[in-house]
Amino acid sequence: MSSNFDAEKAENLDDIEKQFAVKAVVQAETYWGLLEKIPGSKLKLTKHDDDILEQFFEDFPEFNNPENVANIKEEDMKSPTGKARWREFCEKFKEIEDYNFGTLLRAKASDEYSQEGTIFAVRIQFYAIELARNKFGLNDWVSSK
Amino acid sequence: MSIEEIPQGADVSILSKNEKKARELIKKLNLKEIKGITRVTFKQRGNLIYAIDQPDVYRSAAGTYVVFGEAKVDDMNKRIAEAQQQQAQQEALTKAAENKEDKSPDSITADLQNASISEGQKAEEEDDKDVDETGLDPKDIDIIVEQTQVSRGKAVNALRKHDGDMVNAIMELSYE
Repeated sequence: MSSNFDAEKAENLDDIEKQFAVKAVVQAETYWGLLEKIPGSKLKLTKHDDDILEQFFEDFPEFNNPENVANIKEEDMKSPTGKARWREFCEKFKEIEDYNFGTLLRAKASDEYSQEGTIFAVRIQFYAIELARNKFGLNDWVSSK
Repeated sequence: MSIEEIPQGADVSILSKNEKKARELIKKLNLKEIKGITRVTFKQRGNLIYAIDQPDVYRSAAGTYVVFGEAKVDDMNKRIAEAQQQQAQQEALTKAAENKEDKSPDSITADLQNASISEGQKAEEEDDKDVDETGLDPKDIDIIVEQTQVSRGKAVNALRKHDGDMVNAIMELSYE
């Protein structure tokens, strides 16, 4: 490709795709910035926090338990049954802004965002899990560092 | 020949020792020079653009690019603001030309009305003391103001626009 590279005809498709990644990273940085300032247990994320949590615990009773919400297993989340359950949950929140945007999610509430410890999820999954973590005080360590 | 001996504006490019070394090293890495590229730009957050005019561009087999040249900061926000200002001036001029001979009482009343309307709008934008915060949590607004250093009015607008979504509101205010 290098020999017949023509700047006039070069395509930029890759870059456009990367824009999504950029947005996801900015979102993660912004959320982390908030957690560093405010203990998660006192943080509000959306107007619908209570609805999201209630529905989350109803559809996924196993996550109403600090131990399970602290560590998310990507293979469970993305297994065929996991996907089906999550899809049903996600569709209940269509009215929430960016509900199906690609969003970074920490696998462990006890870790920062890192290359290995990050799952690619959608925004409403991020809200559900992070809201539960905040409720259980699992993110409070970030602001008291 | 030292730098001082080169007359100003002369068409000579001075390579520092380090740059020379780097160029030599990079040429050994089997890079192909790509001719015909007139400008390379880097975009940083906040619409800050670094532009290199007439760069030397090399490409590796793996698709990595090495660019040499003098980077100049190109502030897009400034450019946009300048362009908008120019446009506003032009519009004002055309309007002035249209209204030049119309001095009837009607047109004067209309002018006064327009003036008071636009003043009202301005006041709405700038007045931070009387921001309508109904339905919003003052604590949320405090957090946004603290995180983004914007006015309270802007924080309220962003929070409303994103239907109370804190992260999205902060993202809009700090990055877009």
